[in-house]
Amino acid sequence: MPEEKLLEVKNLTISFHTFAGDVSAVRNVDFDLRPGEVIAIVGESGSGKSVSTQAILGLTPIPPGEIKSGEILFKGENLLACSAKRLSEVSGSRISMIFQDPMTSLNPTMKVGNQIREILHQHARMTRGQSAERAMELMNLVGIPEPKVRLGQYPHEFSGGMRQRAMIAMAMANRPEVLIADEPTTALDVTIQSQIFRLLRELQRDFHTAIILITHDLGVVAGMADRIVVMYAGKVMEEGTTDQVYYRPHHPYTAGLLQAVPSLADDARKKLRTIEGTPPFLLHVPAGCPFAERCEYSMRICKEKEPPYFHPEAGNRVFCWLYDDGASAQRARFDAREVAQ
Amino acid sequence: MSELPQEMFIPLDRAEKAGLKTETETIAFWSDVWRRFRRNKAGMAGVIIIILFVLLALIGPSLVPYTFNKIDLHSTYIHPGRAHWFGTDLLGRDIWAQLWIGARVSLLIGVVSALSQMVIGTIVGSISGIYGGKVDMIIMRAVDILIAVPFLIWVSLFMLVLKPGIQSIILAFSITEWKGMARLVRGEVLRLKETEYVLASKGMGASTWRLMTKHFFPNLLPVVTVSMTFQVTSAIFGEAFLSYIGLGIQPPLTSWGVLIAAGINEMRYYTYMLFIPAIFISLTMLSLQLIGDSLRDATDPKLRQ
Amino acid sequence: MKEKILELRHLQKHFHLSRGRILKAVEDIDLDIFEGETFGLVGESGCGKSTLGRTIKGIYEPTAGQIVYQGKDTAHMDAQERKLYRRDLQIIFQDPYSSLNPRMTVKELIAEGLEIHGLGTRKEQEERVFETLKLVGLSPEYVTRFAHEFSGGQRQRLAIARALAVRPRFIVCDEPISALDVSIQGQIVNLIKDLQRELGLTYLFIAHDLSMVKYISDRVGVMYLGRLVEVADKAELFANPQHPYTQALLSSIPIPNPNIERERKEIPIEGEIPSPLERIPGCSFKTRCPFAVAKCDTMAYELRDVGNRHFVMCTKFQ
Repeated sequence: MPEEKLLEVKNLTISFHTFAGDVSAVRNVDFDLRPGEVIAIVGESGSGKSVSTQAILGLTPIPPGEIKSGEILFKGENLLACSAKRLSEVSGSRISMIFQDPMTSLNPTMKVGNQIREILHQHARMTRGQSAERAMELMNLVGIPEPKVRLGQYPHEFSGGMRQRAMIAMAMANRPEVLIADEPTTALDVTIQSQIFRLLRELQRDFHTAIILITHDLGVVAGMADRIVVMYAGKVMEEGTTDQVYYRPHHPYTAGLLQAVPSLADDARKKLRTIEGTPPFLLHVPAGCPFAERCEYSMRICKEKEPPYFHPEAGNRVFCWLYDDGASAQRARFDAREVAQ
Repeated sequence: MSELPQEMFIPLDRAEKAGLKTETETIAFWSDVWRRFRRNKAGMAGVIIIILFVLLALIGPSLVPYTFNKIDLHSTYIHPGRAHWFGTDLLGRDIWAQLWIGARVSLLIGVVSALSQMVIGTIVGSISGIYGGKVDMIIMRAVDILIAVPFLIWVSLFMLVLKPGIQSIILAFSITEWKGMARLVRGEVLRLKETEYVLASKGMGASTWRLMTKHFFPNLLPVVTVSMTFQVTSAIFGEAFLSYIGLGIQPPLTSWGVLIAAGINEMRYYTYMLFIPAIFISLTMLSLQLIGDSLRDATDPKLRQ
Repeated sequence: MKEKILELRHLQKHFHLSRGRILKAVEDIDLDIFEGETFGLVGESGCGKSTLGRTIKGIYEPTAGQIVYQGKDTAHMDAQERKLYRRDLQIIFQDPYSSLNPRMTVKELIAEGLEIHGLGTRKEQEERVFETLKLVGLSPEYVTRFAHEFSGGQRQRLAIARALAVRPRFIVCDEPISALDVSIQGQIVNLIKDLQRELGLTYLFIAHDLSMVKYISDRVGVMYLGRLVEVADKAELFANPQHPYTQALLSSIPIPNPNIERERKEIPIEGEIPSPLERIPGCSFKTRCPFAVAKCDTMAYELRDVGNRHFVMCTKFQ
């Protein structure tokens, strides 16, 4: 039976007005999130992954940004249409977000403890004593040693990994139903990165928090996500379960990404097959599929018309002409491609 | 079966795919700056005013039949009107003519001083920044000491020694006011020194001269240009002050400072004699400030889109 | 057996900070690099790998120790030899956005090395620029453009071209792909590999992405807080890591393969990487090492040969 959707992004289109013209950063993007689920939005720079999720909490800078269309439904309520007051009620308590660089997201002039308590006070009535206690609990929850001392320190006295934990503490303070993590570990060392992801997995398990993980790291996603949304040039190229996307990618871009990423588990002699070309500048919206110029399997129609979403498998959708009946020859070529395992 | 004609599914070859590539138009740095600058209304207003004033400085005096120093004791203290657009002063000299001749002097002093301050300041700042260590320390301590004494006092002292006149004023300003520029340049050079492209060049074996000319100077230009507009402002003001206290331009030559000095004396009964030069000098300084601010915003890489 | 092109002997680089503090970025490194190989250097923040690369290139002067290039100690080189060293040994930086002068055209950027070393006439230099652009896969018509008009991957190609113009023999690649998109990283790495074959280059490839290092290197060295803690041939290191830090590092790396990921057992290292400002006696990893014993306080700072051209600095082998 279909579960209630916690968060639904529908037909989101966002543009930015720049000196050189309008940049269509996000084009008709949909995705949704169920309670307790972890989805990963994977994409490279310019894919629109960050812009789409920033819009959820109203963080899109307007101007120069403009939300041209779409709805973001949180338990049925459209966050794009609600009042600023309502949005600030939701942010930080029902839906929280953590970012890539904790140094810029934490206030450098405020003690960490006070920042956590501020978030608590914003969303719940409690005494100063209660919030101090809660802050301690949260520090323990995220595994920061010597919490009493740390609460009295400033962000610059924390290491990168600890700052990210502090951010997580702030994000989890009000037991949100959704946590959006925008490249939370890209700036961290790999041993610290794995600590942070362990933490996120624990939190997700203990509090049944749904997580939207935005990243370009396919390794991290494999261990954590239930479903994956692959974005490119402002559009969703493919969406499916983790197993399906990794083992049976239907979109040439997804397949290309998987082949372009070296893995420790690879045979040392495997050649890295890369995707040639570069991601497009989104000043000129291509008429057809934005990946066509880099795709090994593109056809005439790919240049001229955007494909619809096909469903080659249950629970999967793919934005690609290869799945039209007329493309069977090219499709066969794609299916027969050399896949390193 | 597909609804689309079969020929749509023919694979694209390399050439056809290449046609899809879109690249941004190439935007050179200064034209991008100009484009951003243009959008700032205040800055543009400043530019228009300055251009207008420069034009008037050039042709203004010839628009009236009087020369600026023609004394006419029958037409003293005339209020602004048909015959004398800006009135006359105590010796019957036409103020419009005086204003625009004075403009030439003030603007000349302003620009030339600023330019030489820029040259001196840039050289000193670069040397300080590039060599660092003891050299830097000595130079910066010297600058600190010099800064401790107010500029106007220095200049006044200078003028007491030198004979007042356009050249000596420019000289005095140039020698005393390069400090701000030096500090600015030094700061930028220190920053540039750490950029990877400079490290790459140094690693390649580039000589200090090469680093200065190819790497530092071109990248200093935006900062230096902005600072210059402010230097012009302060030089114009400085000249006005000097002339006011009598150490600046001497009659029969005139300048805005001279006019203001005269105007202050007559302020009680002939307010136009003060107001007119005051308004013009204020507008000029304001315009330069606006241009400077606008230019600073336009060259700030962080504000790039 | 290949010739040794670069030898590092007890190389040290300390930075003197304010208030008498010393940042001991690189401590006592002994390393030989052979001609034509790619030596991968990995480690996390504060390990000193970047500093090491830059010291070798000559951006920093070593505090102690020797750099021996083709048998000649760089400290004893005369001006001519020094110049040759600067030419033969090039560097590519991590950030393609700050490593190219925004005010220089592509031609000026690439020809700079040629100009500094006085190689060739104007015309010859121009030709060399075109050739080099082609080598890195860029069109010669780009010569009049400015760096900021290109994408990250293309800029990195420009940086590579700049290094190649003088036809070096050794290139220090300081995290050359970390700042690039995933799909572009592979392009640049493959380019680097191809160039090695075509031009007979030797690389010191510094990176924190172990999967990429595994792909491109012949031998790999692991650094932790300024010291080399393990060195081995690539296959040997990844199949058989001996140092606890290397083991933990390898186990922390997520693998883009869900089934493997689900089964992956991490060796958790708790705690943070200590600050390079504080130096403790003995092994610097002992504060986080799951196998630390009392002996670790007095560990000798030497890489011990554990067979199979595999060297480890750990009390386990002392």
